[in-house]
Formats: sequence, C-alpha cells, structure tokens
Amino acid sequence: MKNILIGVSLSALLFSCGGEKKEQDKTNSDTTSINTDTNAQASSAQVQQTVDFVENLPSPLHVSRIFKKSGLKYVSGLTNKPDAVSTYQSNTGKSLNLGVYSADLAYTSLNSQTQESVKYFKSIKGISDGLNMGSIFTNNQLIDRFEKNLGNQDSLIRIMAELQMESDMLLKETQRYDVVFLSFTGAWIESMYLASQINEKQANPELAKKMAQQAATLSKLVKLLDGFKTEVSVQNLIGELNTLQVSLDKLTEGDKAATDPAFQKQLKEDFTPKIVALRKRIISEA
Amino acid sequence: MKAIYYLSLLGILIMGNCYNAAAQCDDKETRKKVKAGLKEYVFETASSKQFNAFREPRKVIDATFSVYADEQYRVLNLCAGFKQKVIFSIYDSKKKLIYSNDKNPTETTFDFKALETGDYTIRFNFSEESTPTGCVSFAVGYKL
Repeated sequence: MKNILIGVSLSALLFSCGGEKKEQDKTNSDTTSINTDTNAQASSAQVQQTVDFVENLPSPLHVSRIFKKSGLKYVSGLTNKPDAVSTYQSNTGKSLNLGVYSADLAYTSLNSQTQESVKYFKSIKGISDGLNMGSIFTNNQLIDRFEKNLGNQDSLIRIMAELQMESDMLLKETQRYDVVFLSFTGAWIESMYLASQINEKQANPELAKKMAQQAATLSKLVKLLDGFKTEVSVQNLIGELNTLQVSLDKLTEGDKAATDPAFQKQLKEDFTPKIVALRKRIISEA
Repeated sequence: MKAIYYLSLLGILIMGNCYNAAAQCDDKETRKKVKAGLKEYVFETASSKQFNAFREPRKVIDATFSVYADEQYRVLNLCAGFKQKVIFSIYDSKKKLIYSNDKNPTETTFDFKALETGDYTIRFNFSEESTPTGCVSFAVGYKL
C-alpha cells in the first residue's frame, strides 16, 4: 500500500512537470497574485462570464480620439490632479480613477501637452501598481519609451494603445472584469466631462453629436456593471449612470440635429450638470 | 503514513494545476499575433478563451464589439490549435452578414468601415470534432 501511494505521488509530481513550457512562462508576473485575489472575490456574475465571451467595450483612447477629431480643444486646468493617486484607496476608487487618468493622458497627448502627458503616464503607473498591474510598465519599458517619443504624436498614440492592450488582456486573462468595466467607466465619465466643458465654453455641434452617440456605449456599460452591483459603490454608480442615460436618450429622441438650439439647451442644462457632479464625486473619492 | 497521504494529495493537486495551465490559451503568443496582425491599426479590444471553457454545444460561439460610425476597423481571427477549419463571420449591428471566410478558411483578417454606431458580432463556427484544447481568440483595431 505504502509503495503504491509513493508511486502515485511521484508519478503525479513527474507528470505535472511535463506541461508545455510556454504555458508556464506567463507574460505578466502579477498574474498569480491577481488570480488569488480574484478567486477570493469571485461573484456569481464573474462565474457566469467564464461560460461565454464577455461583451467588449471600445478603447478609452479611441473615444478621446473621436472627440478630438470633432474639435475637442485643450483647455488647461480641466483634468484631474496627477498627484492625487495616493488618495484613492478602495478597489472601486482606484479602478475608476485609472480610467480618469487614462482619459486625461489621451486628452493631453492628443493635444501635444507633452509635459502633462508624462505626469499622467506616471499617475497611471502609480495607480496600476495599486491594482497589481505594475508589471505591464516594467515588462514593456513603457515609461522610458513614452518619454523618448514625446515629440512624435503617432508613436505616443501607439505606446498608449500598447498600454491599453496590455491592461485589457491582463485583466481579461485574470478575469478581473470589475476593473475592466470600472476603469472604462472612469475614462468614459472623464471624456464626457471634458467634452461637456469644451462645449460649454463654445457650442460645438459636431462634438455635441458625438457626445449624444455615446448613449449606446453607456447603455452597454450599465448592463455590464450590473453584474457587480452587490458592491454598494457600484450600485450607486449605476444609479447615477442611469440618470445620465436618460439625459443622453433625450438628446437622441426624434432625430434632433446637433445644430438645433433645443439640442444644446438639453445638453447644457440637463446632461452637463449631472456629469460634472458625478465626475467630482469620483475624483474626490478616497 | 500521514506524510505519504499528504504527498499523494500534493502530487494530485499539482497535476491538476498543470493540466489547467496547459489548457489555457497562450497569452504571450496572442499578444505577438495581435501586434503583428493589427499593423497600422491601433488596438481596440481583444478576447481569448479555451474552447472547452464555453458552454455546450460549442458549434457556434459569438462575441460582440462596439463600433462608431465612419471609423475604420480591422478584425483578426486568432483562433489556434484546431485541426478542422473554423468559419469566421462578421455581422453588422442589424445582424446582416458582412464577411465570412467560408470560401477561404486561411483568411484571418477583415477590414471595414462602420456605417453606423452600434454592436457588431463575430461568429465562430466549429465542426463536430473540434479540438477541445483549441483557443478561441480575436482582436479588433481601429485606423488612426
């Protein structure tokens, strides 16, 4: 009996060492710790997501670029403070503000504000460390490459897209969908906030039209966040996003043209105050 | 005796663990393929999952992604490890088929311009004997 048990043990150990090497050689060293953390927090929504492909959201950088193409000009002082990273303590706060900083990085980079961009890139690194995603930066030398390419906007966009790819893929591989959806929420809120502020200063029908088109993205986002509403902070966030959805849906009702004064009135008097309040709450969340 | 019992248990646990690791999609390889396949397109989103992690029957697997009107996109079929051909099709936001590699199964890339904002669907069709350890994977990029 003893010999059989020893035999089984040794066979099992030897067998276990025969796996494909490339599978053991994980891309990101954070994966193990994240897996452990995620398993502990796994909600029923996350378990369901292992069955089908989870719906895919657009890239925050792409949303920023669409707004930029529609005339989103740079105004200093609108973005979040780059040194506020340490104030975000909860997982929800860190995830949301990871998105806020991603949108600020895109906004400053697409407007050639290079020194500001470097600060936001470092803020993202800081908040990523807090979410056990810091290896994305070290494995790919992202900060060094970003600083070396400051004069080349096309290269900066490619490096930001690489950062987006590494984050998105790492988080999905480790099934941290809460961070995927919350960080996109933060980026979406910040992008819409920046667009609303620029439109507030000078009405821009093209930009306003692109903002109204975000109703579809918001609707999808709310559905995805619904799987995490057991968390009170997420539940409250969904409530606030639903009020924004009502405002955006009113903009798209009846095919109103963005040049219509009623469209601008609806945007400025209904949507803008709500996005300003929500964004303020998110960036001041400890 | 106790030590032997724990040693057996440890061996079985490690064996199970390694089996799972071997069944995963190759993350490193996927990243390489995404970068190589997107070329001038910028990363938008990607997803990968082991074939046998999907619910049965696994003959048709769908994935959705968002598009914005007037933007140009590239979709990459990154499925790997299947012995039989995988049919890869794209449907627009009105569920109309806009692309299929049925006639040319080796084709893995599809470029298009979105006519309206909405959700597009990528559909993978598998044959009866698809390899359980194959990886179902795709990526989407947009043009600057």
